Amino acid sequence: MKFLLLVIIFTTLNAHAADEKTVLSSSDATVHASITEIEAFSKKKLTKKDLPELKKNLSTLLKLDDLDPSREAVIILSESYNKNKALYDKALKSIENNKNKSQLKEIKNLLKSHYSKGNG
Amino acid sequence: MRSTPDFGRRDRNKVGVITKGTKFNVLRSIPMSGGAEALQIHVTGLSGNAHLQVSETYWVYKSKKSDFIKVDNRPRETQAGSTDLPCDGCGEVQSSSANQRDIGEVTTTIIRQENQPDENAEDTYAPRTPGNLDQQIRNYSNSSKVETTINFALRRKRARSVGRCYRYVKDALAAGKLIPSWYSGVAARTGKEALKRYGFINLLDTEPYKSDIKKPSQAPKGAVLVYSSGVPCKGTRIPDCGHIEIKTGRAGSNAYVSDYSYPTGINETPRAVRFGSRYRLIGVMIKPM
Repeated sequence: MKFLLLVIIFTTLNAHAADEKTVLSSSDATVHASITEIEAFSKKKLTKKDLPELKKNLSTLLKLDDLDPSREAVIILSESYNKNKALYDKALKSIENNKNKSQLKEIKNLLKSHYSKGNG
Repeated sequence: MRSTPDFGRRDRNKVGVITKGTKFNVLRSIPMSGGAEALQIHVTGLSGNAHLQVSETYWVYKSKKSDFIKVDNRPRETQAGSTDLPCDGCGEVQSSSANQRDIGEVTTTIIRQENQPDENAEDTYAPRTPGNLDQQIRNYSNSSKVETTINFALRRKRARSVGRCYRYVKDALAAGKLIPSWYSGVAARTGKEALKRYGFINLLDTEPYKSDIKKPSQAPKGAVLVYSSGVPCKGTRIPDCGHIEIKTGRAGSNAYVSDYSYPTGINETPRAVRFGSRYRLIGVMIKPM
C-alpha cells in the first residue's frame, strides 16, 4: 500500500514537471515564431497596403515585451522603421491606448534610435 | 611613462618620467610595430623627481634600438609553487634585493601559483594552466573596482532594454574606474577593440581561454562580454551593431547586466539554446591586475 502511494506521488510530480516544461517551451516557441515572422516582415518594401500587417506586428512587439526583455524584435524592425517612418507612426498611433502609451513610446524611441544612432 | 599603452603625441595619458634609479618589475610586454614593445611595469622604488607613485602600474615604450632597458639572462619564469613552499623570489619579490634592479637592468619575474579548478563553483570557468594571467584574472574578478562597476550597473538597469547596452556598460566601467572616463562609441561590437585602449584584453585571443570559453557561463566574473548580432546600425555606417553586457557573478535575474539584466548571457537564454541565436560571443574582456 505504501509502495503504491509512493508510485502515485512520484508519477504526479513527474507529470507536473512535464507540464511546466511544456509551458516554458511553448512560450519560447511563441517568441521564436514571432521573431522569425517579424524578421521576414522587416525585409519587405512597405506600402500603404501593408498597414494591417504592420499593426499586427507592432501589437506583437507589445506582447513580446514581457517575454523578451532584450527587445530583440524591436531592434530587428529598427531599419524598417527608419525607411517607412510615416507608415509606422500611423500604425503606432492607431494601436495606442492609455494602457500601452508609455510602453509604445519606449518602443518607438528604440525603433528610431537603434538604426540611426546605434547603442552606444 | 603612460597610464595606458598609447604612445601617440596627442594621447593625454602621460603621467610622469622614469628616472635613473627607479626600481620596477615588468608585468607584461605587448609587441608593437617595428620590433618595439609596450612594457607594463609595476614601480617598487622611486629615485629623483620621477612624479610617480610606488605600487602603481604604468606603461613604458621600449624601441627596438633602445638600450635603456637590458633584459638580463635570468629565465622569464621562476619555479612554480604556492607561497607556503620555500620559493626563491616567490611572494616577496619586491623586498628581495636580488630581484630589484637599477633602470639599466630589468628583472622580469613571473610569480607562478598552482591553480586548482574550483569544483564547487557554479560557473564552469576553471583555469586549466598555471600562470600569471590566471592570477591576474582572479585579481580582476575579486577587485573592488569590478564590484563597484557591477553595483552601479545593477542600480541603473531598466526592466527592459532601451537600446543603450553599450552606453550603460561604459557608464558602469567609468564608475568603477576601470576606464578613466566615458568614451564615445556608437556600436557595442566595437567595444572589443575600444576597451583594449584602456588595458583590457580579450581572453578569446589567448589560449587556453580561447578553447575553454565558448559561452558566457564559462567567462570569469566581471568580464565584459561582447557579441556580434548581424543587426546593422547603418545610420552610423556600422553593419553590425552587436551587444555588450557584464557578467556579474550573481545568481538569478541579475547574472548579466547592461541596460537590463537577465539570468543568462544573451545567447544562452532557454530560447537561444533551443532555437539558436543571432548573437555570437566575440569578446571576453578583462583587465589584468
